[in-house]
Amino acid sequence: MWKKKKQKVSGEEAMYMQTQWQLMRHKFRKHKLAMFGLIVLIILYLVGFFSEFFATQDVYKRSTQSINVAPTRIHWVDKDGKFSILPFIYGKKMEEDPVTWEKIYTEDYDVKYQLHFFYKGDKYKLLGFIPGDIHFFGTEEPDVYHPFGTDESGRDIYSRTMSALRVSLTTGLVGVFFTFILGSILGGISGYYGGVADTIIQRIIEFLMSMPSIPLWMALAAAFPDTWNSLQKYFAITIILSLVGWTSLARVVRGKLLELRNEDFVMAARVAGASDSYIILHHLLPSFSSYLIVNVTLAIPTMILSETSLSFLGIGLTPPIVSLGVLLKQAQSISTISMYPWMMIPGIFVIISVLAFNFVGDGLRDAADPYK
Amino acid sequence: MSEEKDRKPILEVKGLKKYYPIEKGLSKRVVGYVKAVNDVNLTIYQNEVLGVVGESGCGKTTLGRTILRLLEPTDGKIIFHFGDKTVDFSALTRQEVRDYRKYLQMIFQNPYTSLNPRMTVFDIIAEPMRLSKAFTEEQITERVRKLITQVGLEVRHLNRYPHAFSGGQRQRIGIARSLAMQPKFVVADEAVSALDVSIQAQILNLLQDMKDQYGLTYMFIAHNLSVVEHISDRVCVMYLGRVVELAETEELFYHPRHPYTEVLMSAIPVADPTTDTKRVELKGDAGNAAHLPSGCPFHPRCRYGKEICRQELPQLREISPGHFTACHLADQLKLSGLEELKLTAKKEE
Amino acid sequence: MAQEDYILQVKNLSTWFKLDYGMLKAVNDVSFSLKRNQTLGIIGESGCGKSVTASSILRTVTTPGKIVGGQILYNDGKKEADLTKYKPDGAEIRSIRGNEISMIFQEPMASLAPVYTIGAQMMEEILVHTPKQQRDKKKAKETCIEMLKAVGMPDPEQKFNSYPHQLSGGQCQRAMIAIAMVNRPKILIADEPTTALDVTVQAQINDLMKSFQKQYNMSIIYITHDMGVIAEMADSIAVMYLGRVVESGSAVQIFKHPVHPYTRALLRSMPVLGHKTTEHLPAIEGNVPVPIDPPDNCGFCTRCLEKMEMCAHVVPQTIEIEPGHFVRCHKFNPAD
Repeated sequence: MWKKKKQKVSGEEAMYMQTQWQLMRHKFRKHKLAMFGLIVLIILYLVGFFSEFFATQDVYKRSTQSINVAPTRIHWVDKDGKFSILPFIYGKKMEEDPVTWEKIYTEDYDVKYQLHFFYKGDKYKLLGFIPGDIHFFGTEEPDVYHPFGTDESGRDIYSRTMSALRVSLTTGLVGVFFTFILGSILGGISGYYGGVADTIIQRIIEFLMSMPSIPLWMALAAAFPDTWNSLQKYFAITIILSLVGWTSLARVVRGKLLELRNEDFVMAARVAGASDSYIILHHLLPSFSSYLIVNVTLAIPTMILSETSLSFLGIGLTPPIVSLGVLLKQAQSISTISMYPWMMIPGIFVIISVLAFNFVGDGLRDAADPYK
Repeated sequence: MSEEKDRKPILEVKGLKKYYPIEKGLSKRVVGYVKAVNDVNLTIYQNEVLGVVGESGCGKTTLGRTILRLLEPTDGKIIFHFGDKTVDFSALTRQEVRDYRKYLQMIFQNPYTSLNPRMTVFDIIAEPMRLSKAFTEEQITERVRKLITQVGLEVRHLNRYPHAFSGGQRQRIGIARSLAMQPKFVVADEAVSALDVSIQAQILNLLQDMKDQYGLTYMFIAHNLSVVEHISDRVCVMYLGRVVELAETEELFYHPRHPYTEVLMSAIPVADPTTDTKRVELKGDAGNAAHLPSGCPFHPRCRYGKEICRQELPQLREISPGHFTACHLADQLKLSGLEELKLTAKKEE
Repeated sequence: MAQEDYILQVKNLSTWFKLDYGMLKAVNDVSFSLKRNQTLGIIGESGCGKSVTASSILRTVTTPGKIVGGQILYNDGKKEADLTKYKPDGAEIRSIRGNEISMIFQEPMASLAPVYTIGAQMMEEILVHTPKQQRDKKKAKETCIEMLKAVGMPDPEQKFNSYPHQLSGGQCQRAMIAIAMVNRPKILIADEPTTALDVTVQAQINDLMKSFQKQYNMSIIYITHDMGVIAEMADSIAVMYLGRVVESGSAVQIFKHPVHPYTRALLRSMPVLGHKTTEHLPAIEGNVPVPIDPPDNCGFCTRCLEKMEMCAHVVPQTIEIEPGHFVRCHKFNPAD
């Protein structure tokens, strides 16, 4: 709070001088699962953020030559038994089933493509403005390497998943940001002032919580004008999600405030002549900020899941935006799943990111009160 | 009051009441009151230690907090005398109360919850001074350094956070904070009861030193009667929100004039295996401040109870100089004090 | 000399907790004996290991804690058994726990299950320890109500069907004792049973325990930090400091002729009723250390006024300085 002299201190002394955040970090680091989750999340966000670089090709590029292609097999040893350090793939041959007209792809052992890092591929604009054409890993030859296969229009699912990660993971963040603002303001008013304001806010929360969320989303989503572009829709969805999602956070804030208001050290500040606003700013807020962070972290996966289910139902984000829910929408029918199971791969990323957030949230929860 | 002409009162409490409404149903209809503090009259003199004892729920903590206006009194007057200034503390608005906070302080029971774990020791002790806005940052630094050494810690401890300290050390920090503004009147609410036996003595000594050094007046709330006897000049016994007896410490311990005090005395365990205690029986369970009995609040448990006790509420009266009791039968009863109750050396081997 | 009749002998017991930042030696080479039908008081400050000693006897130490050495010899009159040899959740210890050795705790409200009636909790205690064929609910209920009457519970029939929150603190502690006593245990371990109670209630509960002891020929281990209470209750006393018993002997020996510097300092530092002075109390300076990876020394050497050179390097041995009076201090070691 006030200026502190930095000086060399012994290890033990340093421990005594650790702030709340330092203690939390220390405790969090010991939580192995949470650290693992954190690393996974960092990777996912990095990949999502620079998805154009990590993608193997342009997200929207279609190829009539590869419709519903299964994930490309990667080889280290060729058919002659020769080993190479960097993997390679074989080209593909397309045949049509004479009865069903279904396209059947087999490996063409005569054509070999070496895979390697940092190759020149499709041109892109990183983050929308940095031009580039270097891709992370793959082969220069277009339309042969599909790590996750392709969809019915011949688009590369791997590249689309990378791009979808960005949209889906940031929807979570942006949605939680609005949730955080709504939840802490309304919960704060409810908890600190009590009385009529508290009663009204609590009734609103109960009302919102008693509404089945999917019909509520549908009703709100139906209110968008068709003329909105994808960016506007994206923000509208995050706002809808946070309008429904702030209630539980508000309850946490209110409960914590009620609990902290009766702490002895708050009483001591009042004895010292502190005003209400001083107590809120200097004692209450710092005390429950760590709890807020935990709850916000645990709210992000809910947001991601909500966006995914909304888009899956077709009432959330819609093409041309690529989100994990939009990708999964292609895997709606049983026949698709049974014939082209790789359409489900984006779902694995939903599970991974939700799990990772929950692990991190768990670790934060354990670390949130380092004084216990 | 009577013979203490040379002693100036610092605090006069007159007819103080703190009731909590009991609400029922959706409409929050008030169906009764918990009378936590019920018509308390007290005078505390400058530079004395008034011990307040009684069982849990007797209202001693509520009394302390109501006097400091941390709780709003339901009725009654709280009058402070700070030097020549007399302040009707109960009549001030919440805003005005804050101007007088610097004279009043509190020491808490639990040293683990009374310090904000997120602030350094320096910031904790400096907080009252910063809030008063009457000091420069240099003055604050100087004073905090002085205070921390006065309470037996070191200047190098100031950058630490409370988690680095044991219970006794934290209590020292709490005491340093309470002394920061040089208060006149300190409510010590069970200030040593959460501490280890070997630490209690340290803190009691510190409280006494600080009292001498700063000319403090303590209201020392506690349930450990040996500790109260040690530190207090006068002792006030509370039962169900009322003061039932008030006297000089020795007078109260050796010549109690209220049956409840006698029960308390007989229940104190003595740290001497060769002492035999004569137990005075106490009937029934502790009363409930939400359902007060008629007449004397203690009569359902009193072994001397007469008809008048059931019907009439005894008022606190001065039965001998400086000795107040609220018992109808005080003149007739021959109650036992420590001397009669603790039969020492009966079985010395 | 005839062998004393001990119901419980703890010999060189060590219970350690493996924590992230070191080994917490909560109980470190502790020995004491409990005579049949007598009360042993264990006194010490918070963190001295007195509660861990109790849970070691009942084998309820949970991970990361572990009994790493020593014996707990329980002699029920017929045979002697070493409780440390039993599995912590095995049938042998369970047949003893709550049956022959029971325990009451500091927080009566927290130790009673809030969702069961007092009666249900007492009945369970009886039925668990009766073989299936002989279980008789009606008879068990009668026993319970009798016991509630015996602990001085007002309105026992009605209180049998009450939930813990409907009782006051004193009544809860009475109910705890009723539950602990319902199987007529041979040993009752009382861990700070009156610390949370008012002084008047404390006196009642202690008197109750004393009368039960006479009535049922019970031995009591009474754990507390209150010197006054222990003087009233105990026949013999073990003083613990930092995981070790520093002095033990009869109550009179400890209170009238204490020899260990810690015991003496502790007794001096307390305000004594009826000896009001304006003088300073002779407090023990310093703080209670935490026994995490303690060095091989006398734990009290950091605060001891009579400290010698060797106290900081050598663990003192326990010496019997007069019959039944043991002390663990270098001052009394003839070899030094």
